[in-house]
Amino acid sequence: MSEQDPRTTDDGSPVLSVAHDAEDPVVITPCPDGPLLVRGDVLIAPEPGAEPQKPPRRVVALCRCNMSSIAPFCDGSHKLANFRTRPPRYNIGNPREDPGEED
Amino acid sequence: MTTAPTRTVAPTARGPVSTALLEILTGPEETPASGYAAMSEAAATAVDASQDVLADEDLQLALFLLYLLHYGPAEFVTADREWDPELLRVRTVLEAGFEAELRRRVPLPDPLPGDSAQLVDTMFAMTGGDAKPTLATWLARHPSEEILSEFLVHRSIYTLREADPHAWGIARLRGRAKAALVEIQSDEYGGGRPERVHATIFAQTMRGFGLDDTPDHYLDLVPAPTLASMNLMSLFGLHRRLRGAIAGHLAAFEMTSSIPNKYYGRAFRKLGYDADVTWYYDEHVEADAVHEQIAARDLAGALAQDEPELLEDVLFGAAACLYVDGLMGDHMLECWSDGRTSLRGSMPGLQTVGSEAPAEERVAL
Ligand code: FES
Ligand SMILES: [Fe+2]
Ligand SMILES: [Fe+2]
Repeated sequence: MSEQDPRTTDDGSPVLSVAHDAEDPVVITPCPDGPLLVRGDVLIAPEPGAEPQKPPRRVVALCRCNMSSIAPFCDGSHKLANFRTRPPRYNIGNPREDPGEED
Repeated sequence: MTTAPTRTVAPTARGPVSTALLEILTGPEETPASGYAAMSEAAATAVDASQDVLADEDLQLALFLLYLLHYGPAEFVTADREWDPELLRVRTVLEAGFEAELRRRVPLPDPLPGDSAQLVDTMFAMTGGDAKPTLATWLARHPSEEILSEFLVHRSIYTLREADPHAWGIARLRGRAKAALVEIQSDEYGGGRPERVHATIFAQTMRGFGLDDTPDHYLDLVPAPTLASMNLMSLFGLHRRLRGAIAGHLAAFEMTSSIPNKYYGRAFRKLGYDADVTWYYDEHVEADAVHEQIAARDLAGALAQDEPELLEDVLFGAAACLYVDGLMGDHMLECWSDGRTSLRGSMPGLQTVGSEAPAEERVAL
């Protein structure tokens, strides 16, 4: 591994890394004012208790704005809705560290 | 498994440059010096004299044909011409005129973003205006067989080779930007499943609509703005110098895709077409919502951060995409609102707007 994770974004969005396969962990990136990008080998259960399904592509965008016509996936509607996310409030790598000021 | 059909008949010239060029491409393997001289002279004169290179039928067709040598298939070309130095020389002349016109006309934000984070914000702001695109919403309100078949004809020039011009960029980028471009392109090329290659899904849409899915089958019918849209991508993709612009172009393309594709799908459904035809559009609603984020942040943003001297070209590529594709869309919309065809003519079996032929005759294919 190099010093910098190649999927680290520099626009303030945190990178959540869920180690499920040490070789190829699933990476979740909350995009500012947009969806959660999920990279890797995941299954998605359409609702609690439903059979998990394999999504049709390796990177999926999960809707956060609740406006999508293809939920749980994003269809770009967040832009029409002028959806705004809050900056990250939790230091994922070090939960005990002060996440910064409330806005 | 069959190979894709290829266009075998040479297209029709549109002026002195494309005439001289087609004479070479379809002529004997050894081109006489006089043939090259005629072409070079025609090109230099035409570029100088052109009122608007972006709308110039002769120049845009000539450029399209020169780029076609790198993509193929082009069976009407009799010899191996891809690296013919005389053709490359004339391509340089046409490209210089094309790029100069673009640099003159494509509007860039003032002041320019100062760093890559600002660039990403600027690109979301620039593309936000196209979030609710006039052409797509108009089509969803006024769909007709004639209009949608013209729409598919225009789109076929690029979409039957979707993603190919941006693929030239892969070898020209490094690190994060390269990885991001490959991640997007992998999806465009079906993620390892040939039946999911986007160009292949589009070919199915064309067949489902009763159109011919041979690349460039309808080349003679599409006007300069449509060729300019494709030529823009080839210009950016085939020059290492412009690698920032090809990255910016893809980002702007992806960032203005999901929502329009939802409306295009709706237009086809209104006429009773099912998922066989709309799959291409449905797929892009979902895929491009993903690609938009990767292209804006990990491709364009990361490239501008790793090679800050490319920032302005990333922005130029994005702005040029919006500008040139805007001209193509404006042309269609203007023609159709007037009840005129947006094409340069028709072909047997093709339904076009304002055609005199009785409906039964036009439907037969
Ligand atoms: S986050 Fe994109 S549509 Fe909801
Ligand atoms: Fe695509
Ligand atoms: Fe895409």
